[in-house]
Amino acid sequence: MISLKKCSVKRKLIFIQLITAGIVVLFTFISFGIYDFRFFSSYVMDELTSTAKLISTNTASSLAFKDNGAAVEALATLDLEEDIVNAWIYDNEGNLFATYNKKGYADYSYPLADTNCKRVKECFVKHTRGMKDACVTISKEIKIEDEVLGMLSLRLSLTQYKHMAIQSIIVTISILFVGFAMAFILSLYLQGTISRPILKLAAAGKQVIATGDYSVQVAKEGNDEIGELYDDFNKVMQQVHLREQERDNAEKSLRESEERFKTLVANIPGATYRCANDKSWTMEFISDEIKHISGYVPDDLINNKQKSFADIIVEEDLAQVNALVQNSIQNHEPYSVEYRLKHANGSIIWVHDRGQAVFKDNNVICLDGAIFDVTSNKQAETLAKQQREKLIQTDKMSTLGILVSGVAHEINNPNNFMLLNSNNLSDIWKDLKPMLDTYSEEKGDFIVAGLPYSEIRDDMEMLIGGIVEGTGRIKKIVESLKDFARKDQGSMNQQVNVNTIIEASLIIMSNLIKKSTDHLKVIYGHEIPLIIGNSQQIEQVIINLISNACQSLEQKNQSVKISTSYDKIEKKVIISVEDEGNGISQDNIKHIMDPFFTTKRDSGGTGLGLSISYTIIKEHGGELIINSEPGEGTVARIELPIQV
Amino acid sequence: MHSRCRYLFSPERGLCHKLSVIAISFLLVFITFSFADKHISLEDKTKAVFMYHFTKFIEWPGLDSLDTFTIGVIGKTEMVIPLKEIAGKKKVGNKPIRIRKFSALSDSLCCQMLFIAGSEKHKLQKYIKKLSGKPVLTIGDSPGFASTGTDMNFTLVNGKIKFEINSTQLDKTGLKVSSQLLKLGIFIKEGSND
Repeated sequence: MISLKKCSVKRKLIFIQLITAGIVVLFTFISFGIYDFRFFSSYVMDELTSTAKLISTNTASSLAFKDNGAAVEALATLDLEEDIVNAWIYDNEGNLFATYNKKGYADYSYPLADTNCKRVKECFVKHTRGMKDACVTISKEIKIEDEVLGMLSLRLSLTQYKHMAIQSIIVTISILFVGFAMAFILSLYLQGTISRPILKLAAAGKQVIATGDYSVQVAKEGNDEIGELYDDFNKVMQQVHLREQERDNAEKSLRESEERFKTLVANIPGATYRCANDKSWTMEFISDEIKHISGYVPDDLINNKQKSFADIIVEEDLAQVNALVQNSIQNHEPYSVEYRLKHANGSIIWVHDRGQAVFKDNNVICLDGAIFDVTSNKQAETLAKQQREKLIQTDKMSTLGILVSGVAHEINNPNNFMLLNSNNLSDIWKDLKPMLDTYSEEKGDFIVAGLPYSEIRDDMEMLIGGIVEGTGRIKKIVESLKDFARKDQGSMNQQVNVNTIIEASLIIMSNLIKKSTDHLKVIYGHEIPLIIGNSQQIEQVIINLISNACQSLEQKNQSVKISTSYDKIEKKVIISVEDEGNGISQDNIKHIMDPFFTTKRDSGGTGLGLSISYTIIKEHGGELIINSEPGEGTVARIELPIQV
Repeated sequence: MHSRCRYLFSPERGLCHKLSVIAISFLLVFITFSFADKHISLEDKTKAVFMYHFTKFIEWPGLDSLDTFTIGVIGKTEMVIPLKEIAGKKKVGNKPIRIRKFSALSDSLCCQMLFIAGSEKHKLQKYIKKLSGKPVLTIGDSPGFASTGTDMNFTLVNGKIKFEINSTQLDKTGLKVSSQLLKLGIFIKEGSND
């Protein structure tokens, strides 16, 4: 039945009709067979019984008068009966009275004593000695009036009947086959009346599926149930067609709407998104713009396929972003947050993320928002900040320059007096001291300014020396201040060879260098173009840098390396001074360019060296960059453009 | 009989007497039976059975009006004994069989079948004349009886008992004899020596 389910309607109908016809024909065959068999059996038995009756009547007198010759004669009439092959007559004592054997059947003996027939009036015993020798035996009492004289047994061979039965079966089976074949041909022809319209409908259905054309209508062939099915099919198809048209229209407008939306989204300078409010910010949707921003395509991020959005946020920013967004969600407010993304190419991108949570029944369904690339803004902002700081610095410096030059002038004049007079005072004391010594030897010790002379005498030189040193120091500071604040000092149009300047500086600084290190290394770059500027000022900067390097060394085995080179691309001459000294702490490095910032105030540092150097290099259009780590040494790098 | 029995078995008699009477009775019965058996041959018995079977193949006119079916026996023969034995067990139609032994043939015939023993050879003609045309089946028991005029006659053929039929005489009796019976008989023409 399973295979039948898969069969076509046509085959099913043929199969059903054949099965029906087959069962009917088989039933008829079996019924007729049973009827024939019964009829045949009763016919045979009737014939046999009537023969037995006749023989018993004819032989009754023979038995009565014990004339077995007459009985044998009577039995001899059985020659006319073709099928009766043996006959026996027994008397009342069970003795065989007369026998009859047809030619070829003499070997068959009928042991009456072993059967039950002795006791019954009439009985049939069927003997079957193989198919060839099937036979039936009938026994009948021989009576005169009511008196039993003996027993007659007749044996009937069924061979002839068997042949008849086989012939009958062959004929019946032939009829069966012919009937079955006719049923097949008829069913083949008649099934079409049912299967054809069904197959037509099925074909129409297949056509609809194949083409997607729901306007198909099928012409019906009759007004039966299949006709009604056609009507229903046509109605359904009409309705589907209408709905299809409506759907097409709706889809068209939806597509247009989507196109508009896509265009809109594509034109937004940021990437719009919809994400889940979870730890990885799982993206449900993110517009293509994200590729330009982060280097990842939307497919990489949607449903965390390649990476989650949280994965591409810089780790340090993640917690802050999360806290800010969650806080906004709690307050049912839109959020606006700036953070850094790790671009697919490894660079860091600053983004501005604005969005809002979507609620349903007070639960957050998702977050909708847009991400904007603000890296350039950030860079511009940083640059502006740096420029602003530089501006402030410059302004500070120029103000300071004016202030300093004023103050320097005001301090310089009285200090000149003090310097001049302190030298005079020293000379005076040198002259006075022997005289006062003689006086004290002669007159004894005396009091000067409340103190005994003997005490003052030794301190006096130190006191005057202090004044001389102090004024000398003031002079030096003032001169430095003058240098810092000087205006238009010297020509800026000289052609400067940096290698020559370094050679000169090394001669000047030879004493300090010798004291500081045994490892000085100087590498002069080749073919270094001349720069335009002031050679004395540049020499001052280099001296300052060498001096700083030497002062930072703690042991003489630490080295100082001075080198020059030319950057052909940037067209800059580079001067580098490296040391292996104690370096500069992070806190200090921010202030090293500030005037008066020094870590060597105790050893006579003014805090103006680097500040002045910075200003000089800036005036030459160059850069002074100090890189240092505590304990790692310092690299001072001067970049000077070959033309200002 | 009743009074005699009472007398024989009266309580006044002694037990020994009673037993002796019973023993003598049994002895007498035994002697009688053994004597009788001794004189009845198988041949006679068969003849008696044949005679009984004849009744079944012959239609007896006026049988319904008779009280009994009478078989007569005449002459010196023991046939009465086996016939009586059969008569005690069987009937003809629904009539009981009576066996009568005739010493002489009276005018008033009162039998349906008459067995004529071989001893009556000399009186046979007289009997036939007397019974001629009457519905009485005469059965002889001696060679030549049938040709003399009996309807039937027993004879021995190869040691087997057969019967002869004088169809001329038989026709005269008016009895309807079955062909079944006729086909078994040996037909004898009257006056022949068989």
